[in-house]
Amino acid sequence: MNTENQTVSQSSKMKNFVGLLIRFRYLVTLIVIAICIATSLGQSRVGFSSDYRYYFGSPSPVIAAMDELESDYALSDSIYIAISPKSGGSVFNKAVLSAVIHATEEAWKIPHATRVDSLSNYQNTVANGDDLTVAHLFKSESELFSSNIDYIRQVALSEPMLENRIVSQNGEHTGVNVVLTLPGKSPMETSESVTAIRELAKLLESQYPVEVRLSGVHMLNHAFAEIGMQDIVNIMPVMYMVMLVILFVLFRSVFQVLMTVAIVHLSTITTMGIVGWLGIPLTAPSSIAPTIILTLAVADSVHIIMSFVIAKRRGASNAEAIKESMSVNFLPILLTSLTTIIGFVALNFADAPPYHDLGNITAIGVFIAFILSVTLLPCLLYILPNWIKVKENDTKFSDKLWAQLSLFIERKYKTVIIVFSLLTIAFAIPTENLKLDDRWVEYFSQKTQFRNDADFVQKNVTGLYSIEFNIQSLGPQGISRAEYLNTLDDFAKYYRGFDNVYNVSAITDTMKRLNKNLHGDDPEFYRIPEDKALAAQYLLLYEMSLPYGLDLTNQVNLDKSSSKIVITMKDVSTNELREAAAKGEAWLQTNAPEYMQAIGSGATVIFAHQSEVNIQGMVTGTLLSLIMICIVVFISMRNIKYGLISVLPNVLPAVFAFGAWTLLKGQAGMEVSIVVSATLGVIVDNCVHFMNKYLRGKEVYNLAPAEAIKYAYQNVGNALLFTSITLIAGYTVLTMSSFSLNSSLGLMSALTVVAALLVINILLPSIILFVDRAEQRVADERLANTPLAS
Amino acid sequence: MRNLTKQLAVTSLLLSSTLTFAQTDEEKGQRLAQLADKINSGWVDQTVDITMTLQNKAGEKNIRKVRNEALEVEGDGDKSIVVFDTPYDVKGTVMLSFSHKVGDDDQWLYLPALKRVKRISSSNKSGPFMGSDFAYEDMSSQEVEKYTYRFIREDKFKGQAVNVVERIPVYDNSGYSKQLVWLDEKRTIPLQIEYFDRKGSALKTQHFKGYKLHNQRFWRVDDLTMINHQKGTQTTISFENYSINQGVRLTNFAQANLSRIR
Repeated sequence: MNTENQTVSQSSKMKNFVGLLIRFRYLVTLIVIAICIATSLGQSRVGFSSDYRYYFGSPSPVIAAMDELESDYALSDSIYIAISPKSGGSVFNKAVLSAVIHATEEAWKIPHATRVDSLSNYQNTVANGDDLTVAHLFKSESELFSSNIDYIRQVALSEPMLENRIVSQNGEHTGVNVVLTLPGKSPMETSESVTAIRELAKLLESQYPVEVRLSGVHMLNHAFAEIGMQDIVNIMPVMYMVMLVILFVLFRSVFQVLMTVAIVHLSTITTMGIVGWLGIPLTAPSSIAPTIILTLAVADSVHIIMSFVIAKRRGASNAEAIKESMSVNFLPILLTSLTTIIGFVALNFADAPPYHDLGNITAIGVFIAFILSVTLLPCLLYILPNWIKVKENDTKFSDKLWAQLSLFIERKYKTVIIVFSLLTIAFAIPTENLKLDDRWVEYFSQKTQFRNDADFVQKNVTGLYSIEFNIQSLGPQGISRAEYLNTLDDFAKYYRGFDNVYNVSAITDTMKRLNKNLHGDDPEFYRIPEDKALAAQYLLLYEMSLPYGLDLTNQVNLDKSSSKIVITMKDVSTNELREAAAKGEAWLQTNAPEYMQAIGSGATVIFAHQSEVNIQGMVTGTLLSLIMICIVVFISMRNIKYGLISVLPNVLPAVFAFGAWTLLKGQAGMEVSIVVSATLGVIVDNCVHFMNKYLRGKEVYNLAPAEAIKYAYQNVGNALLFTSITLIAGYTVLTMSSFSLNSSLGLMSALTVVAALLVINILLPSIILFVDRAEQRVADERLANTPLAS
Repeated sequence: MRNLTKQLAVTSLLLSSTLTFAQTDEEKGQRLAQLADKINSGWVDQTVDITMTLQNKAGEKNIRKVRNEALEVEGDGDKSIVVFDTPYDVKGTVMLSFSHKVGDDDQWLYLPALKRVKRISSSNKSGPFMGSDFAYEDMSSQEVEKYTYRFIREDKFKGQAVNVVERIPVYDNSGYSKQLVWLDEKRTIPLQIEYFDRKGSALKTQHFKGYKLHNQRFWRVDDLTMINHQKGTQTTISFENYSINQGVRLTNFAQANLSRIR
């Protein structure tokens, strides 16, 4: 048979290759380790990115709108220092307001701070006849006597600019908003500011009877980077421990465990070295790459060592056992590495570059693990001693187990197929209800300080998410026109009517206030001025009396042809945020003149769009990788029938996992888009190994289908079981992450691998037997017809 | 041998004389500031046309035009009138300010659309002037008393010998923690000023370009450029038609008459 000849010639080539490896084992070992260690030196260059812009994917109208906002206005991303009285109650007392003064003054000194807004430096405008006073609401402790505190309260709680932005509506919490303008020269900029803010928070808590909590986009940003670093520090050691335990149970040999650990560790550090040399910045999603590499790399070694042990038990010499193991495993390992790499490379279809990095880093790691497993590992197997005894019979418990399982499958394969079909339907139905939605704050576990603080601030003071509109007028100075201002005012009112909106900040409120002030504080005049020149002159006057850093550049552009309106949302999900932005856009379309049309943007809106785009991209990516993997499997098996059989077990585990997830949690975010890619290759691994052994049993040893299944179980069952257990353990360890994208990915992947284990070990053999039942019948008849004597 | 003794004696004499006149860096800084102030006093009055060119991060430019009349006041800060010509919507707006050596300046604004003069009471001299990178405090009259000084070093600036003097605003509400002034050694006029924000980070740099001598004794620039390092914006102020000590209408410098200024 053609295939037979090819297999033989391939294995003779492999034997030559292994012969060479064994001959130059010391040289190979030395060179490979030297290259790995040299490459791993790049690890020192690995840096964490804390720039959320790194998450932005391909150009989109929202990103373009954000770019425009950033070039036309002063930046608005901030850290929010929420201040609440320790014993509860109102913030309007001397102690708390003193803390606000202190915080405001010190906040100006935070690295990269360019604007500070608080109750204390709120520019209060008061008219007295033709005198207009523009001043801080309060500036020193000496102003904090009771009658003035009453006045402060009254101003603070009636100003739309402050409501639920700087002070909570009930007056029980207040905040200092510190806008940062990062030069973008060093990756440490955010953490410099955060460190300083945290010190300030501690200082305030020690000197005043207040509780301080930190939130804001920059804190969110920093938390992403911080959690990635923590994940590496906390999770990797656990991962190593778990791996050691599993390997020890499997091999019960110190040297074999050490060999595997060496291969896995070298794969990981070499990959991270390459990451450093390539200058790929790590982020929270890509920070789990080392853990995944660690998990995946174990499989190659386990397969090679297990086959080696099986050959040794049969009485083969070291060299023979290595040659046999390599010729049995080389192709499946190559194939599975290839499919795993395809699965991870498919992550490049996600929109966010951090996911591209996760995919590419893991793919590099899998490739390196493959190279090391077929070069360094055979050398180590030869060099390091082993004490494997020759065993004639199936005495091991696991061997009996596999024998029993194969007997069961042989008898009940039809029942198994029916049961699995029912199960598939049962799990597939709920996946329809899986809601794709997420909330960033909930990416962080409740154990994290950031999550606690951000939750509190969102619940009590102000929002973390905002929608920003850059609204154009008819040209330079056009924002003073009454039509523009009135429409903008209606737009602000529209958003103020939303239940999930905390604050709307627009230039119209300042206009109305100034109109009132310049008409002797007559409340009648708290409206938009009709005369364009008057409005322009108000702005000129107002701008001239504002202090350093509190100018209007965050709201009005250079030639006053456009202004920015900011809608601060309550704790909303990404879907709700997108919806709110879309509603505003629709409102403008029906109610505003053509020139005022705008797109709702801002960092958080972009993220909201991104999770959608990511999921769409990943659906395409997953389908493509599935097709490519099938092609690879077809080519490798050179058999359409078995190729088709292999497709099913690759798809089913994902269905089971998604179904289980829907029943467990009901909602999933960006992580679902990558779970299939992260597990697909691995599942194909198992499938390919099993099919490969089955075919080998049939073709090389001329076994009947049922016997070939038994052969496959006995030769690869343990290896598959243990690699699956390693993977399940590895992905379960990921659930320890305080970053929910990582922990959900871990849990879902673990579920998928559990499902895959069952599908491949029970369903796959049943399907094979079903498909090959005619062949089996022929073999059974032949067996029955053969005289017992022979 | 005798020569050497003589030399030593002369050297020690010189040394002791410098010691007698030795001054601290603070004193030297103060003295330089006073000198600069003295050199630039006696101009009596001045009118000048001003064009401000604002430029944002994206490089887009926007122009504002104003006219300025100033009156020197002995023993206090100067009086100044700014008449706004463009943008069109603020045309005819007039700002009158009496600057003071200590404390807040007095400021009135005539708004033609409102047809009223408003007295603006504000301790905020540190905000941007007409949305530019210049703060009001960068442009108002620079009285010696507004800062404390310290001489830093002698240096070269574009080939000219300069004294670098640090000055710290006395004014509470200043937007700056300090400024560094590059003072031309010969003429005692500023060539460059660096501004530091409240956290001590470099904020802005002001360049003085095209000094010309007017009335044989007053150095005036053609251009001032302020570069904001943190925001990436910049503003250039160009001066034209200087007229010094040619007489201005004193009655203009009264709030009641602001509405009549064109």
